[in-house]
Amino acid sequence: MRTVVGWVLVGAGLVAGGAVLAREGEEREDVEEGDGGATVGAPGPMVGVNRTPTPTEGVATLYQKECGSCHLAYSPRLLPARSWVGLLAGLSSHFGDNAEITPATALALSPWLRANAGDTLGSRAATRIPREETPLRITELTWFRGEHGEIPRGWIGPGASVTSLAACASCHPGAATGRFGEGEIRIPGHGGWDD
Amino acid sequence: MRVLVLILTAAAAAAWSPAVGGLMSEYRSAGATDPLAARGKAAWSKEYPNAEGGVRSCASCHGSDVRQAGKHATTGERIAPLSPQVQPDRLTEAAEIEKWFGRNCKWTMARSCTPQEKADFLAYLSL
Repeated sequence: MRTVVGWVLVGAGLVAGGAVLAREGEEREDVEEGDGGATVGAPGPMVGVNRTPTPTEGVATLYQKECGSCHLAYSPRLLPARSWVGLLAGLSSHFGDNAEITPATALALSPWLRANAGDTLGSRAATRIPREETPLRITELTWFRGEHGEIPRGWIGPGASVTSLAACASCHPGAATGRFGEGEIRIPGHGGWDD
Repeated sequence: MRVLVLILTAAAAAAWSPAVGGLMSEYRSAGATDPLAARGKAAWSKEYPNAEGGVRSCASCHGSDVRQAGKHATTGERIAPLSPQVQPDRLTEAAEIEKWFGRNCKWTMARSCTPQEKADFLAYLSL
């Protein structure tokens, strides 16, 4: 980068990212440890597997801003770290859209996404994805299809009250913070879900 | 007529946010002439071919009335109105404006917007 300001922003982004991770570790009593073999950034307990860090400041807020304007800012734990790397590298052709970000933004987001990815956090669903696969579409993951496979035809799709499975918050009110518990599901026009 | 255009442009410039004012100077340095809201408005609805045999324009997501909310053409997500008269946080950050020009000009037109086009768009949106 040609300007001092640019480097200051990158540095601030990295520091903020590290601060968010460190603070998350200090405040939570119930974090689950284990990092799936990938260690990024500050030592200490990783963020709890059951929720996305709340966007109080720093990189989580940056992620919401850069990746949450056109669709839900999907919880990083929904994909393995390598998938996030792949997505960041292909933003100029992002499922038919252009979602380019600046190099400084990518530099700030990448470690945070990888640190909070499903396999980094030890999520079974993420670690079960074969190593040679790098899926980019959450809705096509095997575990996702398994969870949504019993929804009656016609409930979700063009013309239905929920247009797409990718619109998680339509039925999962806690989706923005990574909460998808069955008890909270409310499908528009159909109510709760009881398996 | 030219004097009238200049007067109207000056009046509009008084309504620009600092971010827009700064960008307008940059676009001028890059070769843009006086921004014209009418040109920006016409370009807003101009249609370009998409890969599926249909068309797309700025209005595809933002609508043709920038004082109304738009809707993302693929995800259906609501897009807040672009007009700062209706949505005061719009057009207040130069980096944000440039970011969305980068993404959306390339998606819509398969190329970057020229400094003139950006200036005209900002003049139109700032109305």
